[in-house]
Amino acid sequence: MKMKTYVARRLGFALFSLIGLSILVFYLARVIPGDPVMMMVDPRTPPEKIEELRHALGLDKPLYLQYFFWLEDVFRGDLGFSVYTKRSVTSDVLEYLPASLELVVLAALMEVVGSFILGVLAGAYAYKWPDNLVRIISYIGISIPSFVWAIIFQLIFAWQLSLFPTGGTLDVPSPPPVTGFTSLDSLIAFRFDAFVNFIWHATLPAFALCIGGMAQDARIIRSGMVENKDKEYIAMATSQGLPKRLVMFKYLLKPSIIPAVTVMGMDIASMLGNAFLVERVFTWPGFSKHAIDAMLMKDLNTIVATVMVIGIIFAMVNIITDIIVVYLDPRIRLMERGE
Amino acid sequence: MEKIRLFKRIKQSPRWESFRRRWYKFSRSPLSIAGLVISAACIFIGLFAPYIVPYPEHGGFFSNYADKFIPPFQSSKYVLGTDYYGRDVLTRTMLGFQYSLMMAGVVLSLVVAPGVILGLIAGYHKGTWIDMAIMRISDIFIAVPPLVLALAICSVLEPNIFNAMMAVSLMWWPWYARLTFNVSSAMRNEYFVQATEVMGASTFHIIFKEILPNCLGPILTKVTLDVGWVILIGSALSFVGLGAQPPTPDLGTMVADGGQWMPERWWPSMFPASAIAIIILGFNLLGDGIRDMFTE
Repeated sequence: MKMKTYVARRLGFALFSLIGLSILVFYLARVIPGDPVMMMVDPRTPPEKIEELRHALGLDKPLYLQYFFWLEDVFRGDLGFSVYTKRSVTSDVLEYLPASLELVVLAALMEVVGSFILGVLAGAYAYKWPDNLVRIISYIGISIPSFVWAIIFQLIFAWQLSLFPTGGTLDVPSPPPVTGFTSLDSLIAFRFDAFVNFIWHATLPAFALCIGGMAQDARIIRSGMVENKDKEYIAMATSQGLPKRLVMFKYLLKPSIIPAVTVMGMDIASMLGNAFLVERVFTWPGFSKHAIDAMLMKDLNTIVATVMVIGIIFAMVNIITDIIVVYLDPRIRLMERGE
Repeated sequence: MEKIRLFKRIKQSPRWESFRRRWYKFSRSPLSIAGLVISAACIFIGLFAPYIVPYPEHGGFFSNYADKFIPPFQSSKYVLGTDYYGRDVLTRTMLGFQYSLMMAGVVLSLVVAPGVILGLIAGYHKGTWIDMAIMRISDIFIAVPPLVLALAICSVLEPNIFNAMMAVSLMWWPWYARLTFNVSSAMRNEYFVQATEVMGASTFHIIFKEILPNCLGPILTKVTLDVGWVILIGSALSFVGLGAQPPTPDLGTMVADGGQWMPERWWPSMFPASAIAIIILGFNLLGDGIRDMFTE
């Protein structure tokens, strides 16, 4: 029961932040750039015409009422009209978002697997050469920004060695769209060639996206393991003659990954931001690339929609991370119960 | 005589002693020293770049198509090669340090004080409406990745380096509020705080004279690490074209600008890219060293 209240409270906070964010973004898009009506019409339009248009669009109402009208539209799924693509923003979001999400999910999987392998290796061989190697890798991984990784990977693996494509999503005919997610669509249509081809295209951008977070998480897992190694319960498990591998994975790893999971969740959530840069390098036809193009064109409705959509995904990832942490860490559950 | 006595007093004071111990701990780690050296070198280049670069005029609108795309390490005139306009890559990269460090300096000097003060106030009043108000408002600004909102703000305003600094600052203060809140709210129930309360000290005194000095370690660590992250975000904004605009020799702008001649002419973008990496690496190592210095 306590778990439910915890989740409900987290949802409440998230909802509050999102409402605050929507006010901030509304202010950003409607107030800072100047009068929206004047931006729409020819400067030579007579003033009566302008007033008429203003009234027709509801822009003569007070600002807070305009905000509520806008919010009402958002809840009906109407995000406005895009000046850049000349169609509704909602259909743009639905078209471009899946590709970005696929990239982020692949990057997240890579990050989790990679940081586990590196972190456990470094923790198991602490202060020996694998540990030092992982330390060097992680310093390099952290210091080079994702868009620079993207350029380096593109230069080496795509241009020089031709192991991977330089950009795009598919070389083969695309599967019939059902969900909008290319990977799922190709599986639904039993087009495994398209699926493999898609993953092959996504590997480099996803790796560029996750490498910084991977390096950071590996170090957190490593320091957690080193810290817990000296705990008495580990000494007890070892002295009872449990096999080393069992002690390692069952007793040592589980408490050590808890702090890493929190950071991993934050990393994965912020990949949505870094995807803005990586998608640009690899001409990945995702949401972020579309959003940047719209931002350069000052397409206000798309800008607002971008921030809100990413805010919602961000909040969801954070809540899921919190739930995983509570699930992994019985101490938090007990604390919630007031023990 | 007076001076010597003063010096002796400083050397005997507990503050000097604890500094000496921390410095000893710091100097024992080669990685921390490397971080200190790299960061100091970056700051030096950033401060004096206009006076030490070989071709100061290559920083702006300048073209010399006769020398265009000279590869690196081949001509003694242009060690790191030249770009499309025949501008020296070394000169422009060194000038780029200036913009990156200016970005970090301006953003951090704008955000640290308000963030820390709000965090202290919220931490001292933990569990009251003051805490709720401050922390929930700061949550709004971290409800999206900082890069996304900074991009949105820069695109609504005119994209230039000044607006980029303002946008990043607006995104950055909540992290300081959060950090200080966590440290100070844990300290709020310590005996020394309660003792000062009982003695009738003012809230101002408790917050700034009792709690703040004990939060300085984590704050200093974060400031050092953040130099790298702010530079990263600033260069990312320039990279997508919403920060500094060409021909400003900003590192991110140069990476993006040189990207169009990849893969054959890699040097106009790869050298600025490595410069970004070196700055971030230096301040990361330094920050880790400072963190170790403050953990007992």
